[in-house]
Amino acid sequence: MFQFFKKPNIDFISHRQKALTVSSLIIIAGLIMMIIKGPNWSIDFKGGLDIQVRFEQPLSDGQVRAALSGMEVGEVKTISSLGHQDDILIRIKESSNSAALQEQIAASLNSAFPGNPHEIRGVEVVGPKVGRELRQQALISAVVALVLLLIYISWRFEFKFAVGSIAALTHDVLITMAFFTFFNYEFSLSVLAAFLTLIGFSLNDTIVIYDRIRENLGKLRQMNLAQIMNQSINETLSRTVITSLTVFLTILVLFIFGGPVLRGFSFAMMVGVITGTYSSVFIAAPVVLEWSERTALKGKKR
Amino acid sequence: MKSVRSRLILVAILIGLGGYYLYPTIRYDKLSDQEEQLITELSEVSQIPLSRLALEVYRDDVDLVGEVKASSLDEAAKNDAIEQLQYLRGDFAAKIQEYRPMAIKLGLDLQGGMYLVLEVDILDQLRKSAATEDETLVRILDELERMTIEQDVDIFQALGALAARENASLNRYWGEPGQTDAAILQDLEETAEDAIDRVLEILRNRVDQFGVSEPSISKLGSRRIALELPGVKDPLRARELVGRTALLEFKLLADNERTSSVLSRLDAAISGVDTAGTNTSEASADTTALASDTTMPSDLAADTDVADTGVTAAEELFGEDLGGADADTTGGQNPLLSLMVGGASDILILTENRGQVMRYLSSRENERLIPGDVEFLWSSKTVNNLGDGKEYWRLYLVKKQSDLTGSKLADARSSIGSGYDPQSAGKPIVSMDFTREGGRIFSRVTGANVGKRLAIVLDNKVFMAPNLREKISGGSAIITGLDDMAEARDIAIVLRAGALPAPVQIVEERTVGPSLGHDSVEAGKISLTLAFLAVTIFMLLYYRLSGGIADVAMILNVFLLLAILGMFHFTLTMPGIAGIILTIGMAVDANVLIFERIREELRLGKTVRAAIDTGFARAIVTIVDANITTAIAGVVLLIYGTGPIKGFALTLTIGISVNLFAAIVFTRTIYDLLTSRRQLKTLSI
Repeated sequence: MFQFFKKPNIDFISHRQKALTVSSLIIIAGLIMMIIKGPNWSIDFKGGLDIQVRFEQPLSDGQVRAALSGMEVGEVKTISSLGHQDDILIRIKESSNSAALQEQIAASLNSAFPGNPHEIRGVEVVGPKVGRELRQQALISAVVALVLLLIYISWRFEFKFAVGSIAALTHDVLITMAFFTFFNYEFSLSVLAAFLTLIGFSLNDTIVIYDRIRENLGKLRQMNLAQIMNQSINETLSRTVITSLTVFLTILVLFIFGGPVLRGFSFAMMVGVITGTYSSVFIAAPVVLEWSERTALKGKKR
Repeated sequence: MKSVRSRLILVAILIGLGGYYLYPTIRYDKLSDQEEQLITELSEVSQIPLSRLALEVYRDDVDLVGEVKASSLDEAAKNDAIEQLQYLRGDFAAKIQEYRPMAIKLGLDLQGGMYLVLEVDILDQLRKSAATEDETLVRILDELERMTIEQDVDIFQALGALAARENASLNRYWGEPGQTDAAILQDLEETAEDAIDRVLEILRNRVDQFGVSEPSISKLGSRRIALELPGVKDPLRARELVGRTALLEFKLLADNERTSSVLSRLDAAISGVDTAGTNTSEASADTTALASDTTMPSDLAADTDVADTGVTAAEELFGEDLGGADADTTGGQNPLLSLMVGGASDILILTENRGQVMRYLSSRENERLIPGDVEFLWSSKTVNNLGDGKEYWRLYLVKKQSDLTGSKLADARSSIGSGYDPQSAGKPIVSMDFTREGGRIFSRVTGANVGKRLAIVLDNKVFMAPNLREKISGGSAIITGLDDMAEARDIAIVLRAGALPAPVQIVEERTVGPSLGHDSVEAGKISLTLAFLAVTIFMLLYYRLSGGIADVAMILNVFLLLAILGMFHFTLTMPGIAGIILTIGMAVDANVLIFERIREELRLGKTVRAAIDTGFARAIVTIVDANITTAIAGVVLLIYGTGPIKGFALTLTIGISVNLFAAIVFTRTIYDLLTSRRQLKTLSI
């Protein structure tokens, strides 16, 4: 039998303070960065015009920017995709009268590079109002998902477990957002989908551990809660690691080979799988422990 | 779970059903590859551009065979092309049509195409339908516009509230005399709803005639319309086709004296000269006006109203005191007139000055100086035949009242003009037939205005403004001055489908070119294969035979997921592929839970049989809990998500459900099969 962990007996619970400090540092750094730089919304959420072009003979983004210097172009960058020629992405903040803008860009590129025809590979236009609505809708979906999950976990376990799991997934979302900001990825609709999946995935791990805690609570009456938690986490450790590994493998493939469309999505999922595993061990169970100890203390005082 | 046998039968039935629902997708995939090849070949042989063939090859109303016959190809090539065409349109079309409706649909991001969301401009309709437009109304509508841009408000509720705040009665602007505000709001709302439904209907007609296969048009909320146009190769044309209001109007030009005086007054006002003086009267053509005695543009023939104005040498038409055509002399003397070249009958403006002139004409103070019954309109295209190599726009002053509109058209067709007129012969034109009533009006209007010019205006752009030489009673007219046959065809389409009752705006667009879609499909295939291999090999290494069982369960999982997509004819998008790949990763999770549990039980010294039994029993509780939480996230995404999110949520949610089945029923059955025959001493896990 091939195993990663023969019979692990790691005292996770007593390391919880250290883990909490590391997490807090990353989250705070991420938040500060986000406040300074502002979140990098894609046009899905702030509105605007994206045009993806490919030239017959490749050009640098600088050359294209120079050719469009007369227009109010926001951002011009190269998007690389594995095994294919790079494309140039032209982004414009303005989205009203998008049809005319597109024609203008095409005309400017044609006259600037007469011997080098370009192909418009994709266009995305989101009006400012639509962007706002999409943002709103995203918020609603996140809130609805959270509330439903809270209800489900409270029903299956106890309310304090639900609180622990929500703490863990909030942690995961914040950490992933921090990494997103560090690496300057964009928040788009598909990234939002990644975040919600990450929530589901983070819970998946948490619940496997909770399940074991619940089972052991009935079995191991002589142990205290901290010991039971440690044992439960250790018992489920190889499952937690293996599942995270298989999911991580598939996401890694997607990140490398999935093309530019899915790059932000798969990056979010990669970070999320790692923090999701980490948080179900170091955040979810310890929160339940703290909660129980405090309420127990209060109970004694009374 | 009942006996092993009945579970095996269940699995077999599901695999059979899955195969049945997946077969059309596999066939269709092969056929569409073949189709692409056939059309490319045909395009090479027939010399018809690929983009046109892709749109038109199956259309009954486009005579491609005739086109090939009339072309300049040699006989052998002609026969070849015709043979290929007939095969494509005959046997091949029948085959591909058979499988298409049953195959998994590819999303626009994978097959290429255009997704558009249009918003119907209700405010414009309100503005136009108002009986009078005073300052209060302008204020109310401006505020309303600001509100609707900033947030999603109920326009009519907001209108009522604003009117109440302004202490204005809606009855002043809309409705029957004595009608209450509430009743008017209700009526306005009904009119708006009716307008949106009509927009939907008209757009459907236009798109149907445009020739995309399987277009989809649907209402989105209360004021928006979503269009999906798969396979569009020319987004520019498609955008024009759907975005165009297609309001066709015939409007008389104001005569030259009047044009001169209006321009002069504007010019004077802009340069700051007091216009309250003596030369404000409209007839005072003695001011610094544009010359009005220019040569008239080419005449209008009796039945073919051809001809845009021939451009006459412009500079000589200027009065000395106008500052010439020098565009740099803005400000100071004649800020407006100095930007104009040509006479009052043919005002030309350099492209780079057009923005400035537009600003002058549209400023609120200046708008008041333009008499209420006329308006300035721009030409649809620039002209560059002045001999100086520069691009000019034409500006026209026309009567606001339109004498005849597109609603009086019986038919519109695109063709190549014949005859001798240089404006239409051999060039793309649109010929229009009026209804009987329309023909009568047209004949009356042309008869009463011989010697004047009549502008043919489409969506507030003047396509041509021929001189009326005589009464036209044939009941038909043509539009010239078009770029190419495609434009002529599209204009004919929109004229036939009718004008939109309210203008529309593109508020969201996602266009994916065929090559980008193709790349995405490739990326998806590679990722799927590699993710699959990585997980399969890992499971085999770690769990040996049991890992193999988990791998088979995972394959079954993906197979059933695709079959369900095919069964319901769902759409597969790139994020959807991401969902499938994620399913691969998560599919083994259930098995990992079971295997780890069995290992624990084995370590406790239980027999293989007992370990499997308790392992399964304990793991299933966890599996259900864990999958339901992911499913909750998936279903919420499915309900509230838009666009890319929906595609992802769809495959993820189906994947999770199938996953439960594969782990609980399939894996268990295999284990039962392994242990039922003989007593296993060890388990490969």
